[in-house]
Parts: sequence; C-alpha cells; structure tokens
Amino acid sequence: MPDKEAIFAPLLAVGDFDKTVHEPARLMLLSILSVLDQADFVFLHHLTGLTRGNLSTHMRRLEEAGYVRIEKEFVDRRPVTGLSITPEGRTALKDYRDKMRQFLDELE
Amino acid sequence: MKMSYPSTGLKRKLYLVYHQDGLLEVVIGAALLILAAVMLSEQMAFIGLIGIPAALYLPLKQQISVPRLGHIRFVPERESRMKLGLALFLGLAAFAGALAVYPVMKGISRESWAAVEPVLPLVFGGLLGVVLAGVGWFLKATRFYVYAALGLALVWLVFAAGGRTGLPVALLGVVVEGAGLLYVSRFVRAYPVTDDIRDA
Repeated sequence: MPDKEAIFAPLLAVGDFDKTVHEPARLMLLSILSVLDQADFVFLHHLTGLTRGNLSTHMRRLEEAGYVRIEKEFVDRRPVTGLSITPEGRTALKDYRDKMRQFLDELE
Repeated sequence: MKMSYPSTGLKRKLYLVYHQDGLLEVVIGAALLILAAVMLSEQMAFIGLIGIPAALYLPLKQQISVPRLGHIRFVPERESRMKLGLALFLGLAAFAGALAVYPVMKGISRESWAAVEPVLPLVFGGLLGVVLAGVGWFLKATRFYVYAALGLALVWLVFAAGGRTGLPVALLGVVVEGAGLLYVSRFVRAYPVTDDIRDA
C-alpha cells in the first residue's frame, strides 16, 4: 500500500501556506516592498489600485505579522506614512515563493 | 538580509513608474540649453549655471510629483546620498579635467591641432552620449538611451555639416525639454491631486 501522504506531500503543502502572504493584495504589497527601501501610502494606493480602507487594513495585517514596518512622519506639514519590509517579511515571501513553485511544479 | 529573488524586472518597472513625471527631462533639457548657450556665446565662465536646473530637481519632485503619485525610496537614504556624492564628484572631476585640457589644447601647434580637430566631434559626441546613457543606466530609464543616440547623431551630423559645437547641444536640449514638458503635462492630467489620495 503506497503512502498516500508521502506521495501527495507537495500538494498537501498548500494547507501550510502562510495565509498572511497568500492573500493577493498582501502578496502584491510585499512583492513591491521587497524591491524598495520604502514606499509611502499614496504611492502604494496608486500602484495597487486598492481603496484607502482596504490598503490600510492590509497594511495593519502585515504589520501585526511583523512583515512590514510602518513609520509616520510629517513632510512639509503633511502626514506621510512610509512602509518598508522587515527581514521577517522577506523570509516569509521567499518561503511562500519556494512552496508555491514546488506546488506548481507538481501540477505539471 | 537580501533575498535572492528575481525582482529586477519589478524594480525596473517601479523606476519607470516613478520617473514617468518627466521632471528628469525638464531638468536635463534645461541644463543642455544652458550648456548650448554658454558654448555658442563662448562665455565659459557661466558654465556653472548648468547646476541651477539640477538643484531644482528635488523641489520640483516634491511640489509636482509627490503630492500626486507619492514617494518611494529605492535604496536607503545613506546609500542614496553616497551615490549622489560620487556622481557629483565624478561630474566635477570631469569638468576640472576639461578645464585643465583646454589651455593645453590652445597651446598646441597648428599641425598638432589639425591632427586632433577631426576627432574632437567624435570625442564630444561620445561624451554627451555616455553622460545621457549613464543617466538612463543609473535611473533604469531606457528612453535616455534614445536621447544618447540622438545626441551622438546630432553632434556628428552638425560637425559634418560644419556647424558650431553648441548647435547640436541646443537641438538636443530642445528635444529633451520638449519631451519633458509633454511628459509633465500628461502626468499632471493623469494624476490630479484629489482629497481621496491623501495619506492614511
């Protein structure tokens, strides 16, 4: 009797995906931030097309997971919210990519 | 910790998005026009004026682009300052080198001058092309390679036709400045400042 769990391990690994990263809007935000030192709220709003409320919610979720750092400052008396990816965020994104690649390879 | 991630394409696209406002062209076009005016009038003492448009780049970005599109930083501020410092140093070194070579060139014999003169357009066009291509490489803005090729072609064409040195620079300045103003007007229309894009 073949070991079903061993055979389907790469497929079953989908259940272990980090759901914080797996959500499309957050995956998009993490991918953008992974190639930048910092991006502000207005830029991310334009680039992703997310509404302000939606973007704020996802930002908070990523911050709670420790994947992004949010810094608020005033530039020319204007509030600016800057986001940057943390080392933990980079690791999470890399792990997610590796697992997704393995999973997709299994489908071929 | 840097991640080995195939993100070069994404970074390049972000560079293009961030520099779609055309302010780079406006600044470089203005610098080329000033350089052309200095060359045509042969008032080399005013060469420092080309620094004025460069100094205006960041205030323009802050006033026109940032309220509309937002702000991003590609590298940490310290690294960015170091790169800018290096670019300024290289620019000043090139300028000082040119100033040092000028009296030497004036002092050489008529025969030597006759030998050197035909290659000068080649050198000047090449320098102009290298500087513009360097801007394109540094900012990952491929359209600057087109300006570099155009600059090179214009310099050689005008020299071949017996025109003055400043003329191709002026023509290139008009093209780059015109493209910049076009990009700026398109950018301002595409990204109006509205209440819903204020910060979180």
